[in-house]
Amino acid sequence: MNALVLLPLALVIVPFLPTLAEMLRRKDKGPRTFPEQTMHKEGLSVQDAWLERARIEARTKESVEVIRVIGNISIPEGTEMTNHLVVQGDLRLGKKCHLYGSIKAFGNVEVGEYSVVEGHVLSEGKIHIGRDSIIKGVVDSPQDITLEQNATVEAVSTEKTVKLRPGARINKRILSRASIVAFPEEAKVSGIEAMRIDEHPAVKVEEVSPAQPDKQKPSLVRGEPLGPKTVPTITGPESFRPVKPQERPERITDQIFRYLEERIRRFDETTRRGLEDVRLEGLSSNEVKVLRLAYMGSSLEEICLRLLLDPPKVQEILKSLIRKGYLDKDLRPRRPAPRKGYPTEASEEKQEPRTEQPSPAEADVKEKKLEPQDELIERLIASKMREELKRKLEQRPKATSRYDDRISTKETTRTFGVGREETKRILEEWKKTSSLLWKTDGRNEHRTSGNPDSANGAAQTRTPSMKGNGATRSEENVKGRPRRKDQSG
Amino acid sequence: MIFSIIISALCLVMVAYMTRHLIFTYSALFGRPRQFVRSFKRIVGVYTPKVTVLIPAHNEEYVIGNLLDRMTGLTYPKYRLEVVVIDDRSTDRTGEIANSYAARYSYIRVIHRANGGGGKPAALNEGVKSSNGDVILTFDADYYPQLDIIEKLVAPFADPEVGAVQGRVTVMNEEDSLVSKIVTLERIGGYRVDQQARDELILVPQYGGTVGGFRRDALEKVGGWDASMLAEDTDLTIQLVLKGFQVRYVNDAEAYEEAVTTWKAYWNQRYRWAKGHMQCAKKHLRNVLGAKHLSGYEKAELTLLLCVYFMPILVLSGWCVGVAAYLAKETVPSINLTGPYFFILSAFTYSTVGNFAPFFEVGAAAYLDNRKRLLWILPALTLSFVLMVLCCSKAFVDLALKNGKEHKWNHTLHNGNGHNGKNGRGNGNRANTNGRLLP
Repeated sequence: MNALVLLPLALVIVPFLPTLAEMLRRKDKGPRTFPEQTMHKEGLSVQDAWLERARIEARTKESVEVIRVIGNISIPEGTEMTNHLVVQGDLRLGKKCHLYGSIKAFGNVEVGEYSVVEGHVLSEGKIHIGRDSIIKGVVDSPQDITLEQNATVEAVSTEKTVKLRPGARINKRILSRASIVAFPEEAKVSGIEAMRIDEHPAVKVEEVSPAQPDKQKPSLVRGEPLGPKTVPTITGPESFRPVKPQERPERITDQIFRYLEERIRRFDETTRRGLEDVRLEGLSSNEVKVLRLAYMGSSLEEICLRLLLDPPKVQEILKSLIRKGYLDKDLRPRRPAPRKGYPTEASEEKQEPRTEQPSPAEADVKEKKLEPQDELIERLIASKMREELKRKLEQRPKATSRYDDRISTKETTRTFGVGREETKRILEEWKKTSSLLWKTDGRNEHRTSGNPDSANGAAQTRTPSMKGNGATRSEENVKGRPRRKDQSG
Repeated sequence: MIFSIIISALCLVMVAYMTRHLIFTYSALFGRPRQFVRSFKRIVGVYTPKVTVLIPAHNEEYVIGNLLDRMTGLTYPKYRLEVVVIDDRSTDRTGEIANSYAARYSYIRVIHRANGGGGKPAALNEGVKSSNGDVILTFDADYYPQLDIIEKLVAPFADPEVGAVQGRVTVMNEEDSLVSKIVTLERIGGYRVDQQARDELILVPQYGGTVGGFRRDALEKVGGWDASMLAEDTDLTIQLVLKGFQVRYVNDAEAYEEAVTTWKAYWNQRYRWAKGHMQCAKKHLRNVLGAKHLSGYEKAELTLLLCVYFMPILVLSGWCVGVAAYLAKETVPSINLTGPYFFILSAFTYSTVGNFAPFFEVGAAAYLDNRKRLLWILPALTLSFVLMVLCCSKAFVDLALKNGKEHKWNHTLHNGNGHNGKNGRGNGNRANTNGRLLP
């Protein structure tokens, strides 16, 4: 055998050199010294009654099984169980239940009112013990534990907060690594009902004072100091008022909502009284339009925008309407007093009832010199002679169907740069759509406003000065009207 | 082909053990407790069931006084405590010392066991019959627990699923000899890392026969301790798990023990453990694998736990194969070692190296206990490793030869000062009841 075989054996000694060194010159600290006691010092333990002792001894003779539930479980009211209960989820125990075993849950546990649990209640979630319930074992959870009124438990331990309602009773120990909040009786009760905590380690107990209007209330919010900051107001043990939101600076959304609320309020006021029963004789078309918008609760700015009028102009019209008695100083609608030359309601009743109200377009025509073509249209619309309007328009194709003439003479429109057939198709679609929407002839629709809330036909009359009121730009372009400078581009 | 498959399977087993040790080490060093591993520290001291402490004692006159003194100083409410000393046919002053304590303290009782046998399991069964506690805790006579250990050990029993609890054992006389130092390393690794990791990984911590206890109804369900088993603690652990109970480990419930100080005592103790584990594997392996209420990883862990004492036998066979192959190569050069023999050799060499994983485990435990200097002793574990190879092989052979026959219970003697006598027979230096050496 080769002697070199012994070389690895010699090398085996090398790892043991530290061991030999330690054995010969010991530097190790020696046996581990564990503390005599690692528990915090307890107070006097409560002497249990012989009844309890007898109960425990009797219970040990009874072999109980464990019921395991995967998922959440809700036990109905009045259930009695002799088993331990292990729930891998939330547990909701109904009222007046009696469990002779313990409860172990991985979710939240809610024990109903007047229930009795002979064993322990261990949970990984929140525990809520209902009023007048009795837990004869330990209630332990890393989450919050709440004991309702007159609930009795053997001991409570948690990593977070323990909340105690009036009359809650803990026989042995209450342990919380965060805080203990005890809710006293209502403010009308003079003294705070004392919690019975027979054994209590060095934990912080916070007693929430009853609500007093002139005093600063402590905060119920965990982590906030019990300083002079006034946050919650407790009105009673059952429920406490939600925390009032603090004053914050007004935002733009608040202004918008306030504006809209005002609009709605005014609209509600005006919609009760429309323009149907208001005589509009003697009003210009602009006055009618402004009056209609004012009746709808529109503001001055909105009237200006919708009618494309200058504010001084609108103000002038509003003053005129106020002067004529259609509006009061607050721009609220009012019925104007009958004027001379205008028939009264009594005289109107003697006349033949008119199918529709006369349009103020006639007066408008006097004030404003319109183009002959438009003047005719306004007049015809004002007299509601739609059939005649149709006929006359057909007789004067140049005035009414300029677009049709254009597309018939040119290959493409300048506006869109599309072909004739395409333009025809768009026109037909538009007519069809407008007839469906407004139940009117699509050919005449381009002269009326597209605003669906416009009830008065006279007020919806389109004139060159009313461009943009409800009509879409594409509609105007399709009609071939000249584009405004501000709309171009 | 079949031979290669067998070898591959054995290699997988070795890799499984190695992985297990490394996972435990990693868990102890860097792991966090799982979400559903409940800690009972909050309710320590609150839950105070009626507790019975069983102390089996056979010729423990040098140490029984220390333990009973300690029992009188426990912080647990005495009206909820009952200490039962089972004087198991002692021929020394053990019964007399126990009687003196029983006369002074109402909660201490002594049972003198004159007949019967079965060693410690039978004595414990005798004690359970005469006890009335909800929780049964056991302490060996040579142990010296913390004053508040009862509160810590009973707290997990608030959980209705928990059937058994194990505390931590710390060697008191580790400076006595190299053997006690090796035992110290094993204890540190076994408890600080192995048991703790099993508890945190929701596996099965093992009840170690002392510094632990059971729920009474759980113990009654499994029929108490099996007197025919040499490793009655492991047997009880497996039975409880098979009944659906949970075993928990409490690391901060500590007690000193008197470790063996001689190689002979070490051999006897390990031999009994190895034989007992093999008995348990034979008894429970099929039940474990067939249990429907156990998850797959629980079955795997229990299987590895039961078969852990078979591993040194595999290592020994690997060494034998390696040496045989070397000698065959020397004597018969025509043998081709590049075939299956080379595979076998590499596999078992790997197993030897892989079995150093417990060394990492022990080293991590010493580091966690802030005993870095103790790491210098770590190579000495190789000696115990070699010894265990031989010890387990002998236990396996004896178990196979004495199949069906009663196995003898070897009692480890203690003299209260760590010197448990030459060759473990208790005839060394005498000590008084306080553990002091007598002139």
